[in-house]
Amino acid sequence: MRFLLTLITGLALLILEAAWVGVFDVDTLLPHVAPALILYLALQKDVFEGGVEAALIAWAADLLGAAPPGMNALALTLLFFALRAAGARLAYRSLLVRAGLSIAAAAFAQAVVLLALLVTLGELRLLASFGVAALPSCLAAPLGLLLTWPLLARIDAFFQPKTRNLLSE
Amino acid sequence: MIDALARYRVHILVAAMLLLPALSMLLARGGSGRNPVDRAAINLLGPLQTGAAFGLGFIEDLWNDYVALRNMKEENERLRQEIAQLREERARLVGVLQENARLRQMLQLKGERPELELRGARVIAADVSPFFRVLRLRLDTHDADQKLEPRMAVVSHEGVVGQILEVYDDYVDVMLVSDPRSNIDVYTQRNRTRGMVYGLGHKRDYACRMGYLRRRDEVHDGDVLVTSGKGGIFPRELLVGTVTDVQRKEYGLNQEASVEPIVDVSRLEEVFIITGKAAPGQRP
Repeated sequence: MRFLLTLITGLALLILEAAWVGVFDVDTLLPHVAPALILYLALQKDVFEGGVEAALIAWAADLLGAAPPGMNALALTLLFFALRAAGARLAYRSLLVRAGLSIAAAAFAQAVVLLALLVTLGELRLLASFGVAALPSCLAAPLGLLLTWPLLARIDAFFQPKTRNLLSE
Repeated sequence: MIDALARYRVHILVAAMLLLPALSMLLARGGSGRNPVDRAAINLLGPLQTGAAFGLGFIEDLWNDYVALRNMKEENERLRQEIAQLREERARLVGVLQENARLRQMLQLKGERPELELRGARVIAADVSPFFRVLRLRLDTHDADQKLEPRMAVVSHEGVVGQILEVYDDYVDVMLVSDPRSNIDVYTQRNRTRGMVYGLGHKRDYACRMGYLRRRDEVHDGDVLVTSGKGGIFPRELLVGTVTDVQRKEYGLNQEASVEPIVDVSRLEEVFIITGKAAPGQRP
């Protein structure tokens, strides 16, 4: 149930982000919801559950995105593994660190997509787009973190087994 | 088999996570586009995206309407203030223009009668007594050389206003032509018929009367009366009034006529005091 709710929440946030960008024609204040979701799943969940959820979220992001098929999914999957690898060494309890991590995560995902595009298309001028548009937009990634982290944490807390207090018996 | 899957589930997951997107990319590069699973998923997500876009669009419309209304309200308020300000400014400008026109006419009088020594004054009040017709003036400049005295003539660009009754430092009281104590020696401009214009002191109007007209003198309605220069107060040829009605009795030596003063005192704002001693009686 928790798994399903997490997926539905993630999917809803991704759809809302896509609609937000479409309706309000926003290109600078992108919340980067997908990297933020992956950030939570990589750092707060065990590798299997988080991995499956991350894979499905990455797939959904890939479906909703305009990049060539598989590119977004691959970038987010790599992001998940990178975060899992670094997770033990990250002191991410502080909000400021999390905000910084969200920016780094968004930039990482964008960079992977760029790399994939460079490999597949060989267009070097994409580097300019990355510098002018993609990287600056990552600065708004903490917004995505603010949207996703509390929601997913609440879902996890809801399904956490309650510890019994002896005095309440 | 199931045990092996359970034991290596993480490895299998990692492999699947890396391979599936890579496979998807490869298939797409081959020109086949998205795979059927992707297509089905996108078809499923489509209505959800449409709903989200519709919902956000609705919110955007609401927001735009609200902002537009708010802006309109602010703009409305700003325009109201601007209109009030412009109206006030317009009223002030109209006042300035009217004053300018009056002063121009005054200057014209100075130009037409250069022999007259004039001193400007402004009407600040009128006497409230039911018997007399008196205005109070404030002098425009304080000039010690131009000493003002009672019985000095007061004129406007239209004609005779009256004569000074009292002088107080920077203020003077002026007895109007229509005051019952006022007598001015006049001629008709048309045929030089001589008479005397005296005020009636009516509170309802500024009416005067022309008396001392001989019975055979020919005076008609509309005749313009000018000062004769006799009497030592008013210079010659200043407009005094217009004859409005001639009353000729069947008997007696004299006839009388009603006179409407040439100066509309109710609208008077600026006047001149004729200060030159030699002014009365001089020809223009």
